[in-house]
Amino acid sequence: MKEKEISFSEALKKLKIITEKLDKGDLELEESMKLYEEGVSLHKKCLEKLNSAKLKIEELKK
Amino acid sequence: MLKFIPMDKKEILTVSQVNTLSRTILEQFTIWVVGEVDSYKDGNWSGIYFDLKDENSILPCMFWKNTPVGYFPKNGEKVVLFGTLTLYEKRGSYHMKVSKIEPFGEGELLRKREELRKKLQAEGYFEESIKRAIPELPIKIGIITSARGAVIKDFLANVTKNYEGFEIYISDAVVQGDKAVKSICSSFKELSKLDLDLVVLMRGGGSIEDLMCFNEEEIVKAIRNCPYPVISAVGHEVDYTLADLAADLRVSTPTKAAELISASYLTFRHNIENTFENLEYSFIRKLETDSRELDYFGISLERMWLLFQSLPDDLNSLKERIYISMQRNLETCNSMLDLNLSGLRALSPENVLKRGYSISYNKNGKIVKSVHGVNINEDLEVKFSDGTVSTVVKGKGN
Repeated sequence: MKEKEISFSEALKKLKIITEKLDKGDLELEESMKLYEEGVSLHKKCLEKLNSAKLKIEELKK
Repeated sequence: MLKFIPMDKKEILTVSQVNTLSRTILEQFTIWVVGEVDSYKDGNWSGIYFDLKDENSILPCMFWKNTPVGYFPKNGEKVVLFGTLTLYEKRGSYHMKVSKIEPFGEGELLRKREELRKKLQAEGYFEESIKRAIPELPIKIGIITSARGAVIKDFLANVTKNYEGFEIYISDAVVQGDKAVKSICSSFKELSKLDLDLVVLMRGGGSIEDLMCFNEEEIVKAIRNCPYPVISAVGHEVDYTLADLAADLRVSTPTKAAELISASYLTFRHNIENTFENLEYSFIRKLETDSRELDYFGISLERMWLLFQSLPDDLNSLKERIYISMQRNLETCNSMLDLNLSGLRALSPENVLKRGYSISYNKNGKIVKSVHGVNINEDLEVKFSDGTVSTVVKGKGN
């Protein structure tokens, strides 16, 4: 089975967790940078996904 | 068999013949009749016997247990019966042989709904704790409704108002009458096979009779068994349907459901931008905290300045040398302390290095944060945006 793509809700939750971790401030500079990079990439992916989606309407056959 | 016998022609019938004749006459009619159920007896006989009455009269009724009458009433309940009139020849008593029973009117439907609600409530189907969250931004949406009609058109027009990135899968269903329950349940099954974020069960407004299918036990169970969160969007003036109670979220009309989903895009967009802004702010603060050590330079400069001012004027050449050195240090300090918030907002990690900052690592790979952390002649790796250089500590100062 194909791995399920991260949903918008999950992405937002993850971004919030990363921010909280950074907020605590007890991390090494390198770790903070890694977290920040991860956040940037999540944010970028979300926007890309939002902007590239196209309307699809399908009527199912019963 | 029906005969007209004149008085002068004395053709005499037996009692049995009269009752048979009466029965034949009665059985020519099929009727619908309304009344209140009384003396309902479900015993060990092969038939069920009861009376149907109004203020003035009583009509004895019965049906065979193997007859699919469709509804089993209770004493005192108002019902509508369909069947034939007939006669029990042995006793000459007449009664109605019932082939269909229906609860009568809105009151009865509400009572029936209330009874089922209590039962399902006790079984836990309406518990708040089992309700699933509606996703922040549902993209793949299953719709159960009549695929032809104004409802779906209106929904599609409203849902795409803010954003056009949805994937909408419509499962056509009968949403009224005898076939509705089966049809809606099969739609739920169909949609369960897909990978969805949300399912919306919807129908335009109607009377309580029209919406009775949304008060059926099978629909409640189909909603709870659906692998995705379900919004119930059945338009109605009456207070609620059992489908509303079972759904993870209930809205009053299909249009409201569309508006909710459409607005979720705006909310999500706002949330993600907000969170990202917080992330940037947290990161900048982290950088600021880490660079606070630079302030040591500032403090020592202040001390030097005081020292400089207190030196006697006849040591002019020394003073000049100190002054030049201080200025150089000040410039270095200024550029290092140039970590102001607005400048950093646009920073990404790579840009931090590109701006001229570098990170020094000792031979254990640890970041060097303070002059106290290094020794003379120690090897350090200094990381720039475009690579690293190896350096040796030649001197220290603070």
